[in-house]
Amino acid sequence: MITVVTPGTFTTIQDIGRKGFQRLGVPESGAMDIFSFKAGNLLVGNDHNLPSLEMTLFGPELYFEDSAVIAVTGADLSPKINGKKVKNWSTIKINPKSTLTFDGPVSNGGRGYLSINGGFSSPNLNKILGSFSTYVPANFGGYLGRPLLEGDSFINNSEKAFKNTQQLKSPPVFHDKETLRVVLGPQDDRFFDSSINELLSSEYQITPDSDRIGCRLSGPKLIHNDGPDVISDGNTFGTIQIPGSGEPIILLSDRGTTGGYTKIASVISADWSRLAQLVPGCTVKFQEVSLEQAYQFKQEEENILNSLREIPLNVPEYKIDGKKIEILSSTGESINLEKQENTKYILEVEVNKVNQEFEIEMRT
Amino acid sequence: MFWNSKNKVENIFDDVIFKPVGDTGLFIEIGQEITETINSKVHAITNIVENQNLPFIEEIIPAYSSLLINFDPLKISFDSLIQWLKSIEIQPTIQNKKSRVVMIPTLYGGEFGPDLQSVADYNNLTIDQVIEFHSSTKYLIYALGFSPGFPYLGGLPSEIHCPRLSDPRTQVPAGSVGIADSQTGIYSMPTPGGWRLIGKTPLNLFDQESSSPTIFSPGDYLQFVPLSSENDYCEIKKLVLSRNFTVEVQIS
Repeated sequence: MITVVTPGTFTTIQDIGRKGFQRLGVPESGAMDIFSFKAGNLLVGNDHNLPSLEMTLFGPELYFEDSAVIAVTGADLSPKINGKKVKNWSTIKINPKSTLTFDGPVSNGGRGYLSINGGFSSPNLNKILGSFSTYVPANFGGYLGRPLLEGDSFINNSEKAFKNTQQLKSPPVFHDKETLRVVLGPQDDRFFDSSINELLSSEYQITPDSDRIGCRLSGPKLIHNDGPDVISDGNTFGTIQIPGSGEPIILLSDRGTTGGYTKIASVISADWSRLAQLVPGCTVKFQEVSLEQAYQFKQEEENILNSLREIPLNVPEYKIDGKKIEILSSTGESINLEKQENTKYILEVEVNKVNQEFEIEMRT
Repeated sequence: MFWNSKNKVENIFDDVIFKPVGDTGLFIEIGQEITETINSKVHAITNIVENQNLPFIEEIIPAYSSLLINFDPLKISFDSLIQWLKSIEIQPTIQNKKSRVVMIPTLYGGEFGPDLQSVADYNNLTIDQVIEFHSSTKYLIYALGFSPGFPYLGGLPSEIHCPRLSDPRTQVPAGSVGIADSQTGIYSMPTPGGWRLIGKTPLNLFDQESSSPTIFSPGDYLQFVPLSSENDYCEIKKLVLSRNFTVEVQIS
């Protein structure tokens, strides 16, 4: 069991988002910084999409009854276990009866991710339309559709015998002055050239009314050549829309599925992590790149995640009826299984990613 | 490809504009007007692409006169995706697909539609005339958006157009049927809103617990069916809450 002693500023359960329902008006939601989110899961040996905590500025205080395998990624919110500083971007094994705390952001970036082997789990977690992501504006998904509160608790599924500890070699560094790369369009033709130049040469400041829906910027106003409105069309993460005020809003995880403001450009996906880490007071500049460059940067980011997916080979994995077991010697070992009516089980042995199944009978 | 009346091969993508949205989005603009013809093309393309179930396409968002395809740039590029789209064989039947008309039982006026009188007054009509105009039209669902399950409808008769409230309500209950200028719609979730409320449906427009969370899809039509009493409203509401109500759908 993991208990929430204090919930932190704004801590929610997220995954990679709700896919396939935007045509019905359901926002995608999901982790803001998908790269850090995925890296966290991979560091604890999970599939990249298991529910994890997104922590904003000040993280929660959590009490771990049992041992656990965790990772903290994203912005450095200064994690400590029993008062001792621990490393971000690495697998951490913690002992029973430990307390995880966060002192708050020590450098730049505002969102941290806490992953646990087996994923966060609780009868109060709601999988809605295929995703555990919390969409707070409509109070659904995640932990009862809301940010964590004191006294909430989770089931700890961490494997006791987890061995494959890893560390991300060169983790991303977030700055208070970022340059984000963009592809222009789809409605860049609705602006005067001078405004396109203004967008690509000015520095904008993140304003305090930014949230998971959008990052609001203040700076030089961009002028439309034919008004700010278009016939409402689909929105993506990272799209920079310019309402009548002339000041950009960059759309994020909880954005509406469609919108009627002109979209001057979109931040490329390789820079979504750095975009998600911008907090009020940071400044941002924009740089135009080609699609080919954007694909290359995306592949480089994916290569970093793939480096965490390379699990050591020749380590067999044993499962009985889907439950992982540890074999201590070639003659096997005793394991605890819940009493079942029959005594037949399926033994799965996975070696070098090849699965073999045996039907076995247990005799006592 | 479409076969037109003269059996000449036409490609549905012949006159459309393709634009990138970052490195993960393909914006397909069919036209720059809100018309049923343009919108039906949007839904035809959406259905065709969706039915292919392709691993490199993550999401399709149809709107009034355009659609947005979100794709995985690690699996396909912008140019290859366009090439691929242009190569799909489009069955002529899709163009003449029958439409679904979803019937929406609605109780007009009173506390269920507190602004019905003001819409009547604004247009010099009686309440009954407003209800007659509003419920005798089949509205095309151009898109769903604004909030989960909220239908963007076209075709509100000009006789009952009415401006938004100057002072929006802080909370509009789910199921409220409203009018805003030339638009009509149904609030699918409780939200703040400035539309003039003329009635309310007992149906649940968005059920997040269901794998098909809405009772209609973009491209369907809907029609309001006036309920005669609060009693009828409550009877349907009971069935809806116990998940025993079957929404009436006419095929035309």
